[in-house]
Amino acid sequence: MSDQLAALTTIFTEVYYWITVVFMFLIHVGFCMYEVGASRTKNMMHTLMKNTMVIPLVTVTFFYFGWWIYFAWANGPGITGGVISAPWATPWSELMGAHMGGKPIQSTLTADDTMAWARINGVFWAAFLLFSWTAASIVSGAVIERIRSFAFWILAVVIGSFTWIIDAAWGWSAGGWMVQLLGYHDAYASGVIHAIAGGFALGVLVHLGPRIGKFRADGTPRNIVPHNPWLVTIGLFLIYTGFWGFYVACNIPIWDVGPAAGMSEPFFSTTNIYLAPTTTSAITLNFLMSLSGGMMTGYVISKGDAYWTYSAGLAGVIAASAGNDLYHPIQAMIIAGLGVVFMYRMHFWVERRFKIDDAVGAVAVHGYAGWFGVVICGFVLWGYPSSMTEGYAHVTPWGQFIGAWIMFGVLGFIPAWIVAGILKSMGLLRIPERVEIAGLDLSEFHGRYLDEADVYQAEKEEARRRGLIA
Amino acid sequence: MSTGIETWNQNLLDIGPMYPFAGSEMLWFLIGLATWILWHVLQARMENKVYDEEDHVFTDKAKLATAMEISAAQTLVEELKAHGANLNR
Repeated sequence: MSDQLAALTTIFTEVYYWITVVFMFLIHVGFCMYEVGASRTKNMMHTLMKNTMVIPLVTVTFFYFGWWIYFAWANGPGITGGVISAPWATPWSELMGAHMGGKPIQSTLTADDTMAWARINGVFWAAFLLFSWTAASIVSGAVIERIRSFAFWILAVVIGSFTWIIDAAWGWSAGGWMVQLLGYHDAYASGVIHAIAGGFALGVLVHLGPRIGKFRADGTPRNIVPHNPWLVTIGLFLIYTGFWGFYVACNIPIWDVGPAAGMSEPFFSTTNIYLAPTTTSAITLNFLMSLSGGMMTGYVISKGDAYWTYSAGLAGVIAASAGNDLYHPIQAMIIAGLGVVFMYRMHFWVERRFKIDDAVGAVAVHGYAGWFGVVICGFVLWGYPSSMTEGYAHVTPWGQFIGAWIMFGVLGFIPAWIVAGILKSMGLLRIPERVEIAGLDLSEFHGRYLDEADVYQAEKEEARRRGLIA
Repeated sequence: MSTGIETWNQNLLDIGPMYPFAGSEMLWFLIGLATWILWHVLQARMENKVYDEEDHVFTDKAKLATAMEISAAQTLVEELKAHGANLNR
């Protein structure tokens, strides 16, 4: 790059996304801590490794096909057009590796492609990838203590590198068919990450069934207490922290929106994913106010329960996220509170009515709050343009309502229900009941017991030899 | 011989891909894809074997009852007691 201002803009954008990735890594750390804390001691290592291995497995598959889907399937394909050519995103593209932006060697690429994508492709891919981890990690918490790792990792790849990125292509890109036809607006992913992941988790749970002992003979649920509440709460704090990275990763930091607005002069702004202008200040105000609205409501509705107060903070942000680029902060706070009431009531109703054992409340916090967030956005932002492109549908309650069900049901619940059903029919979904009862960390547990018992006896003999004990 | 770039003393605006063996991307993709599938196959075999063995061990009801006691133990001493260890010796 020979133009200093262009270089500054490009390299700033490159570093901007890189920083969001580092922040978002904390989401995964938080989810791991949260799940391990929520599990019983006999299942800790299994729970940890199940979520940890999401990182490599979703990463490689997102490289192999996820990234290409985002650009190629924005039209459906088959709804508003065919498969879109995206030669910079194929796993065999020269732009999926170290590149200086000069003349391409592959005939599918142009000089404009290499100039535009050489420095941005990797960090942009990584920002989306971290969303993929989050989607899979949300599901991970719901199914702890009884799912086979093999089954979970197949399901993680399905949502992390396939279904969520389809929904992003459809409803979270400037040219997605849902944006064009439905006026779908979901700036910070109430639906495209949270509703889909919650719906997906529910689809798995239907086949997986509850943990042994979760429900009494009369059908009322028992509370399976987290073995370490401090790990749970610190995990949730870390998820809050990573959420900051998630929010700014949804934006494009510097973009000339002037031409799209019909202006004769450039107008540089931060934009949302639809390339419509917003500001980082706006989303900072709304993030904190919706977090606050969620926590305040959660505290009251759960009578001060720490687990639900923390979870309600997340649910509050999630409920307001669809429109947090445009809401007034107090609107965001109130929407967050309403979303928390909705998800909290839904969680216990579904648990009792359908005997669904959602171990960490993931379906509620992400699924119900995310669904709610998409729907309410249709009322509050009714009539707003969904993108900068003239002729696209505007935001409406019915467009958002349909969109919320596409996220939660069509791309969330249904694929999970099908894949989990296949795994179940093959006997590969659930841990054998004797092993579940004994504890999933049996091998580690026995190894630890033998070592610790050996050390304990050695200490005792040494203490006796030194005359310290009789 | 060089697997890629031979000198930085050139017009940098002309440099495209910088990794070695540029032009062989499809081959690397196929190797990567096969590695991913193979990993799942190996992991599934490993996991199924472990669970089959453990499930078989716990057809012995006494062993399963002991394992439950051990799993429920909160301290090493409780674990040792669950295993029937004599703590007074």
